[in-house]
Amino acid sequence: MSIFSTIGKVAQGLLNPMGAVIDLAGSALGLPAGVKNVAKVGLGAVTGNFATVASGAVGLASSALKGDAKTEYQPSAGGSSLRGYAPSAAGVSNPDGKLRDAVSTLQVYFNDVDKLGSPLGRGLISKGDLVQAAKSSKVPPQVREAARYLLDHPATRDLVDSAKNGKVDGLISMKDLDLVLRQLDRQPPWSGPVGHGGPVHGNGPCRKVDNPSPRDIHCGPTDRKPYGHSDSNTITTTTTTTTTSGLSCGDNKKSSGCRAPDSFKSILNNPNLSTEEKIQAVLAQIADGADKEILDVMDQMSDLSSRKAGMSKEDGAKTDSSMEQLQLRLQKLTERRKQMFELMSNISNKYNEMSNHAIQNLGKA
Amino acid sequence: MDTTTPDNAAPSEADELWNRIKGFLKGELTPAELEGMTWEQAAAIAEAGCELAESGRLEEARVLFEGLVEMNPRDAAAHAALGTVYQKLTLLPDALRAYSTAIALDPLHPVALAHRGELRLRSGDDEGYGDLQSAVASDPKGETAAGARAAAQIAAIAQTSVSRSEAEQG
Repeated sequence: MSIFSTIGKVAQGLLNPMGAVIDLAGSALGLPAGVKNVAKVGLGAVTGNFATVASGAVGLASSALKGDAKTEYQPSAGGSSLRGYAPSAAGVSNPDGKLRDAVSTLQVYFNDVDKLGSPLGRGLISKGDLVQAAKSSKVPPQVREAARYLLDHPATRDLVDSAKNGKVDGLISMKDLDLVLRQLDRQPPWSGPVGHGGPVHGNGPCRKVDNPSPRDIHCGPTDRKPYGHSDSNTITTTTTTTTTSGLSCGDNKKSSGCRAPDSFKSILNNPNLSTEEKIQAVLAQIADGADKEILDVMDQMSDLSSRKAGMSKEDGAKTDSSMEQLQLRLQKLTERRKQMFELMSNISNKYNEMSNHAIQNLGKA
Repeated sequence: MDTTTPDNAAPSEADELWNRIKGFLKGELTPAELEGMTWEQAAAIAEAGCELAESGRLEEARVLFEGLVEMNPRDAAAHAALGTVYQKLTLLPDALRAYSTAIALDPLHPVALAHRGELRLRSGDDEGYGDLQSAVASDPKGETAAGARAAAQIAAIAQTSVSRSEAEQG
């Protein structure tokens, strides 16, 4: 039995009636009616193996499906696409610091009014409460502004709403607000806008929500079970490991627990440098350190070489051995320096190039 | 300026930055983590890349997605999107490599699976059929364009196979 028969029988057995399946697929998935007809017409000419048949069918389907693959950014579900990005909180963007102000204000106000038994507060804040707070002249202006902020940013509101249990129920609890504040406060100042800590929200690839802010773009389906169980994925980082000299941290092996060495503090604490400039300056200084090590080894080699002239045969042999060790060290240092330089240069170029293009196009996208 | 920090004090901003640089040099952190780039920022850049690719400005789209991949080599979605740009640029080996990297990072990534499957089948590699099946299994509702495309491809193959089977029998 050929593979065509097998697939055909499987298709007929499991997907019967096939015609209905094709029709269903055609309508549900946009498969043009022409595809099946063309495939049927092509049948008479199909005489090769499965790959030939499949290739032909795929080719026909592709042309019927109007050309090339669509470019789409489909984040891995389950939050695994967040790996490798800067840490973030609650899935909420906070590009201008307004979210923190809004959440903080609402927490204080609704806690208070709750105690006073105001109809606005009952430990939970609904959209209606926000609308009422945004309109009411009895409400302090900063509360009106905070309510308006969450009303104007529905995606952000949903993410605040879901901070406690990951579910959007239309009610923001004090616990939701508290969690968002904690997560925002945990962000070090360098992290800039806070991002996502939970599941990816959205209904499809690269769609914009009703908020025009580019940071409120959400990609990917929610709760799509078959896709996204990738916690066990093997993650292979291609980040090059370079020199680690000077990176030790005493007994503390966790890299998150070290103090900056004094030699770098003047750079790292310089308020006139951007984070990018600080990183570049520190990396450059580390590269300089590697240069000094290389020069030091070369000096030692030169010294050994000049001393060898007046040595006995036995001492000369020892010197040769030392020289070989130095050569090996020099080779390693040179290689390490080269890697470091390439890494810095490559990242810097790609980052700058990407940033320039992104800046030019973000507004248009 | 006194820059010393007592041992029991909370880590300063400088310490935080230093720890990131150190983590990066040890290969523990990606350039995106080093630079403080969040997923939202990456998604915004990717959105621009998708728009550029859609409008045929493929070289610019390539720059954006290559940059994203460089910043975070662990982002399967960026690898897959870059693959589609390579595919449009007819850089098929590069496209296949990008899809395979994405699948290594996320074996259920529908975009990478669907397009790699199609490319493989077109080149006569019947392993591509398995990719298409996996793409449909991971995106059964066709929520991604790639998932819907894979379903259509499978339907076409199945139809051809049914007809072929009937012809063989009759």
